[in-house]
Amino acid sequence: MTGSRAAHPGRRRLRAAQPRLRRLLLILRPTPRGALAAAAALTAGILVAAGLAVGSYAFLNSQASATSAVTIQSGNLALAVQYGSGAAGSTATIPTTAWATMLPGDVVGQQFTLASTGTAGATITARLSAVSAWEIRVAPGTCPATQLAVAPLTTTAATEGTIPGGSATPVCVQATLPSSAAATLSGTTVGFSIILDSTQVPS
Amino acid sequence: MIGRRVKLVIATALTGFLVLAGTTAGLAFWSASNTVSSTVGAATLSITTTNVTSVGYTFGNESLVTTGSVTVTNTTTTTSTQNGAVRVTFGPAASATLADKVTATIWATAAASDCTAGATAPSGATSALWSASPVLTASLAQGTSVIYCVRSSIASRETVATSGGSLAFQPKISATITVGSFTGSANATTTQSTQYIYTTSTADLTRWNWIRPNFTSSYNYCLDVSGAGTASGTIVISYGCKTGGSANQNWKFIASGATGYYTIQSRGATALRVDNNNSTASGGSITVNTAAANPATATNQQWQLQQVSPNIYELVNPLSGMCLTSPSGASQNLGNLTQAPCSGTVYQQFKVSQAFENFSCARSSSAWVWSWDSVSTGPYHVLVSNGTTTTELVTTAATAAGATLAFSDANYGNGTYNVSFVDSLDTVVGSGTITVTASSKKNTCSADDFQ
Repeated sequence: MTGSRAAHPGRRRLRAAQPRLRRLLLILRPTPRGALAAAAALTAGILVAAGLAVGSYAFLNSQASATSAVTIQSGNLALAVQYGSGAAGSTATIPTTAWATMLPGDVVGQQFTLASTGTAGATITARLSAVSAWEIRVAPGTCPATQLAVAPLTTTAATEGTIPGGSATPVCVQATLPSSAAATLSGTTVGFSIILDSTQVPS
Repeated sequence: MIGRRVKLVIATALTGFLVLAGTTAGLAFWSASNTVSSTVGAATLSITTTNVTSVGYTFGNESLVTTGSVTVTNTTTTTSTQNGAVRVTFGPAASATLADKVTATIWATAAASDCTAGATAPSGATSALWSASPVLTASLAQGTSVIYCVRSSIASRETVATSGGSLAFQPKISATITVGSFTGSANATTTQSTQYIYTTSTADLTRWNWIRPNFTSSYNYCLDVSGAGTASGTIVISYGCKTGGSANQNWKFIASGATGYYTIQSRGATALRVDNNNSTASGGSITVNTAAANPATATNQQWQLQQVSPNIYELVNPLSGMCLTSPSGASQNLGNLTQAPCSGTVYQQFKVSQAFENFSCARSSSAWVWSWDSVSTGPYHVLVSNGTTTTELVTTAATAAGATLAFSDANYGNGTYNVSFVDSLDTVVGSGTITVTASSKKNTCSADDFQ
């Protein structure tokens, strides 16, 4: 009995506490509606959090490629461009000299290297930052003596192919001053930018 | 009825699934962006035409052909390896008579030094009047040139002869280079002209003439067969005009058979003709030589009269194209005439005065009446001198073949008076005397044509 008694004080305390616990449990009682509401709220919160997380990655990637001079690695996707003996990075500049004084009908090719330094392959698209009187073409491989058999770039992205992770490939960029170029272009210069967007190939 | 705990488990599971599903989709579309930039430029086509002034020229009777060259260079600065299509037009800067008389013969050559007077134009050379603006084309890479020989020629001096002796136009050589719609151009002009090529004149073939260089110093000078020689090869000199025994100073033009060209016969040696001795050199001696058997082809004995002003001419030899040239000076004998490029000086201009023929005088009633045959260089001035003063008493009509001097006691006392007959070129072509005696019926006169 002692034991019991000994137990009794605890039971007594429990009993004494039960009304408060019941009231607490009552407050916290998971009714079906409450449970569903809580789950929905949790799900929504997670989805919002996840969505913000994906958006953050894209935003950071985009900013990095546009403004940074260093290779941005996002997860295991990392691409770099390199012209000649210049440093590999998110941007590359081809000297103007190569095509500074073209004549109508001229096709001038320059080569740069596109490297995937990450572990994942990527699908590459290319587009121009702005329209140009010059035709700009890109294609994997070394530059041929003739015009690349691909359509000239526009401001709309066009798929150029894929690049495996951990590899590098030469890319030819050709500038063509069309034979039909207007006489008013004579003596003019214009800058162009090729934007290479890469998307990780799902593994 | 699903228990509360089961519902709680389902809700938790659904939440977890959605979280995992959302996270997987986000990782699959990681991306990157790289940029390759440069600047492209278009060249400006440029071309030059140089040495155009070598095409300029002043043509003379002795020089109806010239050969120059033009260098056309593609001076475009470009990275292109394309050739430019070059078009070179050889035309006048503006419409001009001379441009329609000068033929341009043009051909490409390796070096400007090839374009000599003796160079032979290849069979494929372009030949057209400047006024037709011939065009030649070429294909030039950057920094390369094409050199054209440009020969300008006048078919005959008669085609460019004018009363003023000169014509001019500006050859304009225009070059354009084209690639696509891009073009570049250049042009340059020069001047071509003629000088001292006057309209030809038809000679009177029936009369003897005095031929006098158009200057006077101490003497009036006349063309003269030196020493009144009669041998072929005797030099022709400028000598003071004589008033007697002057057959060696009278000359007659004879049709050579070549249109517009004459031989010149000496009155004192009618078998001889003025001859440049087949010389084409400036300074070549002029002589009288035996008349050629075929004067139509003997250009060394042919002379063309180009009229500088009425009855004043250049005498141009067709073989050399040069002008008969008198020495200058003041002595009676100026020496041998030569030929030289026509330069418009008085030493190359000659007055041609017809000599009086059948010159005579007769007294008619109380007047003296002279008559002669030649009439082309009148009017004639009749001057009378009493030894101290000379008075012009009569001026004839321009084509008069005679003059009458009326006697008047008031004008002429007894005595002998000298009378001179001077034509419109100030050439004394005859003389005479009148004698007045106490009885007018005894007045006499004479006429002298200096022969």
